[in-house]
Formats: sequence, structure tokens, C-alpha cells
Amino acid sequence: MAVSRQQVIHENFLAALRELEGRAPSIPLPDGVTAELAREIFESQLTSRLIDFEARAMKAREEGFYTIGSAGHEGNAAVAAALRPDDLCFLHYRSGAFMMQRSRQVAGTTPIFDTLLSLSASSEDPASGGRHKVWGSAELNVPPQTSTIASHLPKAVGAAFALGRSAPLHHELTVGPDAIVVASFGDASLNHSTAVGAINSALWARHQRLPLPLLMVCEDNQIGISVKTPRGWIESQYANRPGLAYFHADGRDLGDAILGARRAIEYCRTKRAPTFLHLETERLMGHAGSDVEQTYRTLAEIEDVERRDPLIRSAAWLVARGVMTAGEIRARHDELEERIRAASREAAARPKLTTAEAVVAALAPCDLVAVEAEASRPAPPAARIKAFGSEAALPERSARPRHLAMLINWALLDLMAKYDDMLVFGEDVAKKGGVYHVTTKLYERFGAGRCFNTLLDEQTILGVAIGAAHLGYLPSPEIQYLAYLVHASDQLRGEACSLQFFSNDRFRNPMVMRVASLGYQKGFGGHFHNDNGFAFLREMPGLVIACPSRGDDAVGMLRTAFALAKTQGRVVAFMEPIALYMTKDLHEEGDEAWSFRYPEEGEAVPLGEPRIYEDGGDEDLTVVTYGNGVPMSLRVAGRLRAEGVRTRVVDLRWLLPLGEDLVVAEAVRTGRLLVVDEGRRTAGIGEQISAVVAERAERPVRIARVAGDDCYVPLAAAANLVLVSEAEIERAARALLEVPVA
Amino acid sequence: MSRRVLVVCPGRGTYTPDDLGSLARRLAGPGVPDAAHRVLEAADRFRAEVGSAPISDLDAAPRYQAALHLKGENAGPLIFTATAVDWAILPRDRFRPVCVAGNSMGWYSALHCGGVFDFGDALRVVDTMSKTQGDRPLGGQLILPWVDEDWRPRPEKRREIEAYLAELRSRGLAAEISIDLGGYLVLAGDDAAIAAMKKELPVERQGERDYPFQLAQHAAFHTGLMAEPSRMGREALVTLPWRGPALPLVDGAGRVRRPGIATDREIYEYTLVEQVLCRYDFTRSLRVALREYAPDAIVLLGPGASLGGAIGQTLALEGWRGIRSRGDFARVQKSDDPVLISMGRADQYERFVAEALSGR
Repeated sequence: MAVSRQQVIHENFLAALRELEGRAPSIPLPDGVTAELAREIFESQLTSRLIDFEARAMKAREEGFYTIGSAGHEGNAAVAAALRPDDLCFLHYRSGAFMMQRSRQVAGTTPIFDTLLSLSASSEDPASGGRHKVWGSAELNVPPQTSTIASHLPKAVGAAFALGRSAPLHHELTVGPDAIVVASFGDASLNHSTAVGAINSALWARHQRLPLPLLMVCEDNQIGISVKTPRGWIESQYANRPGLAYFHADGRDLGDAILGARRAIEYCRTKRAPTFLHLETERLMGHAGSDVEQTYRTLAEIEDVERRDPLIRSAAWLVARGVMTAGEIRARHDELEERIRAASREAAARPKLTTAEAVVAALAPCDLVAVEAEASRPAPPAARIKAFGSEAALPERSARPRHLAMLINWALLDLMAKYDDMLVFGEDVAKKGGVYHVTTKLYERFGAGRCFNTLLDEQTILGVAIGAAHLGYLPSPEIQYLAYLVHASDQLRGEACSLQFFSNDRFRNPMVMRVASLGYQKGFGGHFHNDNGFAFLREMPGLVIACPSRGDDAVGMLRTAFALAKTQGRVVAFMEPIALYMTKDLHEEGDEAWSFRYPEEGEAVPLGEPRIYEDGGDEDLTVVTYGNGVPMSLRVAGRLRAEGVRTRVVDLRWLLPLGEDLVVAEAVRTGRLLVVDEGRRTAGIGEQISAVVAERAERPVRIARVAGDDCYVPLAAAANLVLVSEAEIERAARALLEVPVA
Repeated sequence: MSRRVLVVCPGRGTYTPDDLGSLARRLAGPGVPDAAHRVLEAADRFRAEVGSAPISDLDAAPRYQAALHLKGENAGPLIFTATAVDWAILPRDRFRPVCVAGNSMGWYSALHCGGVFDFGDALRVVDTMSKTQGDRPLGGQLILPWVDEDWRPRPEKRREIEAYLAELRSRGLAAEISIDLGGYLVLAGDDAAIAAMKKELPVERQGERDYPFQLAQHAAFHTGLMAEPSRMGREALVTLPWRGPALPLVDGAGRVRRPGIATDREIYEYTLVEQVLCRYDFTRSLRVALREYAPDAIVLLGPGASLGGAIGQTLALEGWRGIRSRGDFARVQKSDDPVLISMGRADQYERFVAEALSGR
């Protein structure tokens, strides 16, 4: 049988110990490094390495399911040693030694067993409940990261930004006022645009002298799977970057790693500024268990890397400084190996996830009683009066019905009065009050600390939301247009929405993201400002999508959305139809039938509850729609009414999760269902509605669907050629009515 | 075959009337090493030096007297000596200790087993700390179960108890959880709090006993009320030769104090400050030892075996090796490979220890 690289590496280490036997100490310990600390860090390194070996043994026994290891990156234990347990850490996947070391700072932790539970995908794995092998721990302040490609950097920037903002806002923190945020990543993932963008954002903030205590640890092993990082690349890009403090440490050298990490952390903690620690490492045993390194590295190259094994360097370092003898190291190795093997047998026998219900349980907590109680809880009266300027100016006192934009603005003022920890941010939301004035007065009333402009980068906007949420804020990021969200969607899909799932609900990053959405804007067109495609949001597990069509609903829905975020930790996408922002009339100009009064305090729209426009209760036709489709359908219904046809218009209001029972019941009620979906035909919500009714209706329902074309939205009047029109709705309705129902 | 074992040292209250004479009987058994005899001799010498009754006399007393055997300055050294005798007897070739934990006063015994102190210095620690409470215990301790009779957890019961303690504190009384002891909670408080607890906590019968009941002659250990004993202990014991451990020690907060890593200073500070003033979480300490060392078995040193219940409950709370209830635990214990070996139980001592000593 061929000898595996793992065996070679292990044997090299033991052989190195034999060679070190009897070697007399010759070098003093560096100042400030005690023998105990050096031994502890080494033990963390050795533990991590032996767990890597065990992971492969578990895989071979079919008891383990993950072999991306930390071998060669053990220098990161020195970084952990220099940090405090309240420094918030977003770690990449080669952080075994870091986690072993960090856990020593918190009593009662069981890092070896926890890691083995995670490798064996046990439901008792405290990091993710058996959902993924991640480095995470609530006790250790390490939110689990499933991202591999530095997509955790925007939230790290966000958390550091929010940390810097907490003192002036008197925001109560669960971490110390001088805590820092740490993000680690590899040299290859640093090339990802997400990483580059995040660092840019950190420096943009720093350029304005905003505090941003972020330590970026680039663990440079000079290769990404099979692609080598050009020699000197990291240093060339980051050593002389204005606003970025660059520190270098050789992670293969125990002393240099300890002292280098300390210097970087000390700088970051005291200067509250973005700090880059370039930590040189090696990558041993390939990218993962399945990666056959020999296909892209020569044996000589592989052996060369193995000769630089940091663990061998650490052992020699300790012996040379008289901290441990080779015999003591061997004894420690044997003890750890035995323990890890024994613990692995125990861990493999622990329970697994065995039902889909158990898997899904942590994804989207939804205690509706708690949500409704929170949604109807009024804001403190004094805070409201302050927010609106006077008692007389309280919005429910205003008798005049108003359009959507104004009512949303009032709701936001109200919610900011209710939630001290609520932040509103995005492009142009502050002084300008947003492109559509929806955030007007927020900056003026609550100050730049709570309502602020960001730079033009949606990944950063969402990263700030996630990071701030980790620090106890209730963020409400604004995305200026739906189309702008697409390129940042991984921040929702891969990061925000997945956190509760992959942390077994131990971590939450609540937010209510408002997005000016959908088509039909008059006089301001083009694809990016009228995008009607949101299928990418609908497939995100755990996300809630709300889409109000009128102002009073928007207020009640926002109350529920914030309650969902606050009490359940949920991520809510609040799609605001741009074309309805300023719409006042419904049937004819000046009727003000689409203007509404501000709902009383305490009135909220429950999650999933639609608004149903009845016409006598014994209607001929059901229209299921949302957003712009609602007023269009109501106008069509009005015209049909003149002909004696009665239409039931259902405004879904909540698009995800879709209330399937409700949709089916409403369709069955009339036996004729017209789905009006202003999104695109392919992968649009209309498909889902039609499918659900076709599958589940107990009696035959005649289904028709109108939807936008599978096309980008063009400029000017041409837009109407590919968007759903009232005429199209009317034609489809009439066609449906011609068919007798069973 | 050598088994990797977690060694657990018992705390106060484990030398019961049934244990009278057990020390003498133990030492008279076949194959007991000289080292074990020397422990008792050293204990008696020490007691003579400090003017207290010899440990062998306490053990040989014709009858058990609460005023004598439960008094702190006697109970502590008596229990520690019995533990140390068992430690000296434990055949290491068959039972290889991989880490050591203790419960409450058992931490001092663990310091001895873990190599921080030789027997004499450890006895000085026990003696000193036993005497710091003076003639009359400061406050008291009460014990009650938060699991049901089958050892299934009742989190709501635990929450009720915690809420009650918070309520007592809001009344200005000192009331805390003193020890997290598997399925039991040991509550501690000042005299007024103990009186209130005895009056106000509902009585629950489990097995042969009514709970809660007060632990005789116990002070409000592991709470802020122990500030003065902590200060006195530090003053009296600072000159002892504190060392780092030779075996991993799991403390009452669930921290592993590792050889070569834990410093003498850390052990001193923990032992005489945090350990004295803060809750002793025996459950957590056992959990950490089980998970991080995955021992083949647990060896509970004597005297007595009453801590075995709390150990079994902790195993059940952990679901360790499929044990999830009292019945499961009993089943595993009856098997050829029990998870817990209590040296204080004659049957288990005979079966596992005496057999090894006689080389059979």
C-alpha cells in the first residue's frame, strides 16, 4: 500500500524528535514569552495536527465527513493567544490550532470533543448542530463561517465599524469597549472581489478617521488549491497601502508568530484602525483529503514543503530554548494522540441529524405569538414625540390620507423611536433622505450615528448590517435599487440567511433590508431602476420577503418585519414598489383612493396574512397578486364589475414564505384563478402559485397566469411592452371567465 | 490491560457512619502497598503536631458522633486522608490516571493526586481551610435534586430554584448555588437565607429522603461569604511549595490545569480565591474531563461512595455511552465493564482493586 503524505508528515515529526533528543538548550526565550505560554501554544498546535490526522482516519472508517485541515497553519495559535475571548472572530477553515488555543481562555470548553463531534456531523456538535464542519462557538465569540472565499470580510468590516460607533451611541455591548474584530483568510481568497471590496471599505472609513478596529489575518500558504500565489504578491499589495497598518510574522516560527501577532493586535486595539497581519504558513496534506497534490506539485516540491513543517520548527524551537525536551514533546504527543483517538470513538457514537425537521429546525425560528406581541408593542410616547417634532405631529393625528413613501417614512421614524439600537444606512439615505425621500428626516432627528450614508458598494452595506447585528444592533440597510442587490446577494444567501442554520441558532444577524423595487416608474426608466426579477431572493432559505402595495399595509408590515428581526433574529427583505411610492389615486386622477391614513399604534400586519379585496364574498374569479399588480388588478376588477362580474383580489403582501394553504383556499373558492405576477415569467412567483394550486386544490381550478416577459426592462415606453399590463390582465380574466367552472 | 481512568476525589460529607473503621480495614487488606500505610502515619503525625485527634482514632471510634466526625477540622483531614490512602493503593498499572477532578473539598485532594503537593502539604491546606470557618460554620448548605428520580433533567425545576434564589437575594439575603452536583444542587446562604429556604422550598421525596435537607456542619462554601476564609487561607498558605500539576487537573470551573502549562501562581490563586468564593461546578468539571480525556472508566476514590450518584447523574445528563437514566447507569454498572469504579464500595474494591493488588 502506498504511504500517504499524512504518514510521511507524521513520521517526519517523530524522526525530528528523535534527532532533537539530548540536544542542549542554547538560546534564551524571547522577552515576554514564558515557557508555559510557549508550551501551551505548542500543545494547541500539536492537538490541531493530531485532530487533522484523526479526521482522515475517521473518514476512512466512514465516521468522519470533512478533511480540510489546518496542517501547516498552526502558527495561528499564536494569534489566538494574543487575543482576548471577547474579540469577535470570523475565522477561515484552517483555524484548528487557533480554536484549540482560544478555548483555553474560557473555562468549561471542550474543544477536542467539539471538533470531533463536528467532524462526525453529530447533532450534538455545538457549533452547527451537525449541519456543517465549521469553526464556531458562542462561548468563544466565534460565529461560524461556512464561507471559503472571504465572503466573511464585509461583515467583519461591518462589525468593526459598529464597534467603533458604539461609544458615541451609548450602545450596550457584550464585548469590552476596546475589543477588536478579527477576520482570517487565505492568500488565495484575498484575491476575491469580496475581500478586495471589504478592505477598500475599511480604508474608506479609516480615511475619514472613523474608528475601525479590524485585524485581518492573511494566512499565506502561497497556494490556492493548485494555483500558486505569485511570490511576494501579498506584500506587494498590502505592505504599503495608505491607511492600512501592515505587520508580518512567520507563522512557522513560534517566537516570531507570538511576537508578530502581539504587535499587530496591540496596534489594532490601541489605534482602533484596520490592521493587516501577514502570517506566513505552509499547506500540508493538500487542500483537502480528496485533493491529490501530486497532480500539480512535484514530489520534490511536496517534500520541500513538508520539510518546512511548522510543527517540526516549533519542536526545535522549544528544545533549543530549554522549554521542553524532545522526550517531553514525544510524551505529550503520545498522550494527545491517545486522548484524541479515544474521544473520536466516543464522538462518533453520538447522535446524528435523522429527520428533515431536525435539520430545518434552526433555519428560521418563528414564534408568531412573540412576533405579534412585539409588533404591536408601541414605542415610548416621549421618544415618538421627539421623533415627530411634537404631539400634534404624530402621524396617526394626521387626517389626510398619504402615499406609500410618506407612510413608510413615518413608520421608520416611529421604529427608530421604538428601537434605540436601530440603524438606517445605505447610499444617499442621510441628508438627501433617499432617492425617493423615504428616509427623509431620519438623519436630522436621530443623527449621523444612526442614519448614515455608505460608500457605493452593496456588499459593504449588507456587511455592515450583518456585522452590526452581531454586536446587538437592529440594522435596516437600504438597497437603492433591486438590481443593485444581485451582485451582493451572497451576503444574504451565503452569510446572513445561513447564520442561524449553521450555528444551530446560537448566533443571529437580524435585519430588515429595504429595497426600492420593481418596475413601472414613469419618466425614470431603464433596466437597473425598474428591475422586476427577484427569483434570486425567493430561493434563499430562511429569508422573509415582504412586498406592500399600499402605505397603511407597509406600516403594519414594517412593524412585523422589525419584530421578526428583533425577537426571532430573522432577515427580512422589504421590497418597496418604487412606482407606488408616490401613487395617490386608484381608479381616476384625484380620487386619492390609493392614499391611506397612518395605522394606530399597535396595529400590525401578521406574517403571511394577505389583504383580500372582496366583492360580496361570492365572487366569480380570484386574482392572486402583489405589488403593482394590486392596483392594476383592482382597476380591472372595477371594469369587470360594471359588467356584473365580481372579482376577489388577493394581495399576498408576504411573498416568502408563500402562504400555500391560503392561495389554494382562495383559488378553490371561485374555481378560477388568475395569477398576476409582475416579475419575470420564468422562475417567477407566479410559477409557484400555479403549481401549488394545480397540485393541491381539492376541486378543479382553472388557472391562468400573466407575468413579465423573460427580458430585461428597456427604457421609456418600451418598458410597458415587456411588463404586465392592465390590458393583459383584463384579457386573461375575460378568457378565464368564458370557461365554465365545474 | 490498563484502563485510562479519570480519578475523582470526593468532598465533605462522604465519611458516613457506615465508613467507621473503613480506613483500618482498607489498610489491613491484602496487597496494600506500604505507601498507603505511610499516608495514615503521616496524617497522625501531623494531627499530633497541630494538637488534634489522630485520624486513626477518628476512624477507630466506637461510634459515629456528629459533633466529632462532622466538625470541619476533623471531617476535612479525615476525608482527605482516606482519599489519599486510596490514591496510594490504586494500582496504576491497571488504572492509568489521565486526569483528576474533585468535588469541593475534593479539589484539595486532587491537588495531591495531581502532584501539586505531597501528602503533608496537601493536608496542611485541608487543615488550614477546614479551620478558617472557626467554631461555627458561616452560613450553611442545603441539597436538593433538580432531576427526577430516574435522573431525567427537569430544567423547569432548576429555573424555579434559580428564580427563588434571585428572590431571596432581592430580599437582601445571601443565597447562591454553591455546587452544581450532577442531578443535585447544593444551595448556600447566610443563616437567614438557609432558614428561609428550609421553610419555603417545597419538600420533595426521592428515594428514602426528603429534600431539601441541610448538610450538617457545612458553611456557605463557594460563595462570597467565604471572603475571610479565603484571605486567611492565602495568608497562611502562601509559603507552601506550590507547583504546577504533574497530571491534568480539571477544576471547579471546568478549566483543565495542565502539566507544564498551569503555573504555581495560577493554582494558588484558583485554589484559595476563585475556588473558595465561586460556585463549584462539579458537573461541568466532570463533563470536561469526560469529553476531553474520554477515559475508559472513572475511579472514585474513597471514603464512601455517595458521590457516585452525582457522577452517575452527570453521565446521564451527558448521555455518556448511551446512559440517559438511572436505569441505564445501573445496567452499565452491573456489566463486566462498569463506567464507574468506586473504591469506597467493598464489592467494587474487591472485584477491581483487590484483584489487581493480589496480582490475580
